[in-house]
Amino acid sequence: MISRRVVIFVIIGVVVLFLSVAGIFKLIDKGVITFGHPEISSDNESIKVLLIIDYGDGRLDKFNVSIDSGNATVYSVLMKASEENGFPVGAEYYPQYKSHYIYSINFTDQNPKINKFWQYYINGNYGPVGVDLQKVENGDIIEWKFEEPQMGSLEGKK
Amino acid sequence: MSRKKIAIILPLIVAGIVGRLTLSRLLPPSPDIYINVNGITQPLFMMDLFFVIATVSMLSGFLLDRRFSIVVPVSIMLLTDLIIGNNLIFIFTWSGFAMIALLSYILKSRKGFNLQSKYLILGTGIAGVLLYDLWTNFGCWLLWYPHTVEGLILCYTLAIPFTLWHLLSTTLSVTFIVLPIAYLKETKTIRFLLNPERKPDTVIADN
Repeated sequence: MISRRVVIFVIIGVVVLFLSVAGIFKLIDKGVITFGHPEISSDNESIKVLLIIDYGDGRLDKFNVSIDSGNATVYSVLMKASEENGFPVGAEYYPQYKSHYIYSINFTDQNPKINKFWQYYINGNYGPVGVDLQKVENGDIIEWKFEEPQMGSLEGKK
Repeated sequence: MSRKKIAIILPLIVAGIVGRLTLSRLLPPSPDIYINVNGITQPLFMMDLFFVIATVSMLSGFLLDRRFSIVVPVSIMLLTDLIIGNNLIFIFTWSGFAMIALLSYILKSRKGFNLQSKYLILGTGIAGVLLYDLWTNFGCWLLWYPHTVEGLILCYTLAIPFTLWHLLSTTLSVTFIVLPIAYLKETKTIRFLLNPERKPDTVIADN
């Protein structure tokens, strides 16, 4: 004989499951949850972006980068500038974060001993997400600064 | 310290250290599912090794007394941070894992560590994740974000994929590691494994 307690547990479980599934479908419908990166489009329009590299010691490099809008991210802009201007970039891809981590630009390596790392800003605002996840638009200004962490990095706290 | 205590503490500390230092390359890639919250698009899961230390912290709370339940996760974090490196956030991460251990110790003290408490054990895992993430993200906000409401919202928004992964991975590790250990302890198989001269209850019952 099934006890009343088990029946109540099963009913609550089914209701919670139903509401969870319905909630997930609603979030998908509203575009909160998407499959495949929603901001990477197949457009091939060329856009222009200003890339500034601030080495933290008074040196500044500026590059005007033209890139297809379809795959224009902070990462692709940096790599295009690197290829076109012949400066090396040290990057490691973290599949668990779906993004690259930039540890070196033009022979200036991150230095945990003095707490200095490469961080990017887009139009003056700190880049909150990984470099592959930050979409870039025509006229954007991307700044890479070699500095102490301001708002946590991709590696963050964990 | 008794031999029994050492026989529990040492494997837990070794498992935590080895797990944290070696398993990162085994993490699967995040699936191609993204969430968009407050205009910020991120992967649904940001995968890290939180669950390794969380599981060890829970086990230390369930298997040890109050003092040593805290010593285990803090020792693991101290020793691995010496290798990996850390910054001031350690104040929050170390204490966060100590909270998970204490939460587990409190549950054990009141309800015991056995399969009768399986839902409470699972609930402790989930509560531990939420407590840890609320606490450590508050630490991130204090250390790195603008001290405004917007900064606080941004900090917790960016942490959502981590929290989702922590909930999923910890639920799985509680189900497949913590609950089986609760069963082994309940049937006294652990005591048998540590001291083969003593037979577990199930063996005695069969005889």
